[in-house]
Amino acid sequence: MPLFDIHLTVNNIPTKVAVRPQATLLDVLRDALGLMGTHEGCRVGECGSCTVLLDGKAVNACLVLAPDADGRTITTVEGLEQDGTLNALQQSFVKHGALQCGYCTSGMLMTATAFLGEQNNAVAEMQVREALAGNLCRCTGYTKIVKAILAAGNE
Amino acid sequence: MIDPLQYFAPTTLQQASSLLVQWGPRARMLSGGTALLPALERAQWSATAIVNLKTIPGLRELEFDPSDGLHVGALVTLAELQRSPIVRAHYPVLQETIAYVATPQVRNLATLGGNLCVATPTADLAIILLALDARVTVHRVGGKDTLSLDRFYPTWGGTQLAQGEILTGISIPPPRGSARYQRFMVRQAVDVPLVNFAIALEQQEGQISHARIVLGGSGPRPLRMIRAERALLGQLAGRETFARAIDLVIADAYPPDDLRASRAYRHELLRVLLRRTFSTFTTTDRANASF
Ligand SMILES: Cc1cc2nc3c(=O)[nH]c(=O)nc-3n(C[C@H](O)[C@H](O)[C@H](O)COP(=O)(O)OP(=O)(O)OC[C@H]3O[C@@H](n4cnc5c(N)ncnc54)[C@H](O)[C@@H]3O)c2cc1C
Ligand code: FES
Ligand code: FES
Repeated sequence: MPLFDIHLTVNNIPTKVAVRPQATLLDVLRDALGLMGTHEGCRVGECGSCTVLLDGKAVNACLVLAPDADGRTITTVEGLEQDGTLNALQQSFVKHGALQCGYCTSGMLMTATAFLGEQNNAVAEMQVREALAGNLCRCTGYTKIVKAILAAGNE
Repeated sequence: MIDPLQYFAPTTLQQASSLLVQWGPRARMLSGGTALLPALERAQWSATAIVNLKTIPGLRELEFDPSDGLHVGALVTLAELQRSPIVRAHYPVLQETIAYVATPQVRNLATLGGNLCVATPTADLAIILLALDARVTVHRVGGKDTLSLDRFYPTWGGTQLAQGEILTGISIPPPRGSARYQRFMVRQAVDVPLVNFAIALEQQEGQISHARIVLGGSGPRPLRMIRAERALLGQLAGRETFARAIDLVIADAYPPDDLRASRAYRHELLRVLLRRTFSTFTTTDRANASF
């Protein structure tokens, strides 16, 4: 079956990947590029664990067809650290105990990154909760995740 | 796992149309992909060819003219509409509606054209846009055609689109009066609505001069409640008038009776939510509202 060459910029690195046309961006990140930080939960857009930034916007990587991502810029959770240390949002997650099993964490971080990037003013709890409507967590009950994001946003 | 696909990235509507005609029912269009990819993944839809519409330029305009209304290209995403200052200023109800749809991530991908063409009987945008008398523009072999959204949806469900036809834009006339959208879910996000509806009303000197009531999930397509709309016209906006209209909606509505809720429960829910929503159209009623 014919492979399809696509060009992506992933975490600031220009990359050329040969993809199966039926692959999703999630398959490309995990299987072709080995970026296992982007998690696969439902594959149908409901859990948010595969959230990445596509041209700066949070999207479900499982809902993007690989050839359709040609030419786009992608940020995954691996792209958040700065010079080998966790960024402020990641450190806030650690400090607030905002993860248990960690399955949802990379998706939560990416959604929160996009959300905080759009805010000019102080963030309110309700806004954070609405921003997380597409990210499921089966462990924490969300409270500490919301606290971690609020703290990072209002620093 | 999605079956092997041929992928096409046409750059004109003509190319896309010919591909769709050539591949027939084995081809599927790709806009946001938020309905298509899950349907392929769950094997609810099958496809051997994907025709990407996003590589066609000119389908993303968002323009408002006071005498003409709003023109939205089929590929405008729900997030773009939700954030648009034009939409906020002239059609706030559209933003209220979009806030109910899916998740922030899905809204960044999902397009208005896709939402209307998937044509589920509970599609939020279809319901509100029917209440706003929207029209759609369709690319056909040998030209384009503009028709009302009401005609775009046949009574038996689905859309009027034939093989090779593409929805290119949506036009919404200048706002008349005001409109509300209401959707009830058990869970506050990413849940299936138990009932959803839109109401648009215009009043002149206290008398109702224009009325639309559109109900989702009560048949193969969103339905206009014509008897209730007629009962409102020329009447004074107020409790008694609204109560008569609500009785007619309940009489004409046939919501599903399924594992999520019984029909009787949905009827009751509908009655309460309609009463609540109608009451927001008159200041006196709002003050007297008993819920
Ligand atoms: C988690 C989740 C929650 C959702 N919640 C909601 C919800 O609350 N309310 C709701 O209404 N929907 C919901 N959806 C369904 C869906 O995402 C939306 O209806 C969305 O707007 C579809 O648009 P799209 O651009 O992604 O369509 P696509 O998936 O790209 O297209 C689907 C199909 O529509 C047709 N189509 C698309 N564009 C055109 C066009 N321009 N011309 C002709 N045909 C076309 C084609 O047949 C195409 O294969 C949800 C989906 C997910 C994954
Ligand atoms: S794996 Fe993409 S949303 Fe669940
Ligand atoms: S920490 Fe386990 S799913 Fe969120």
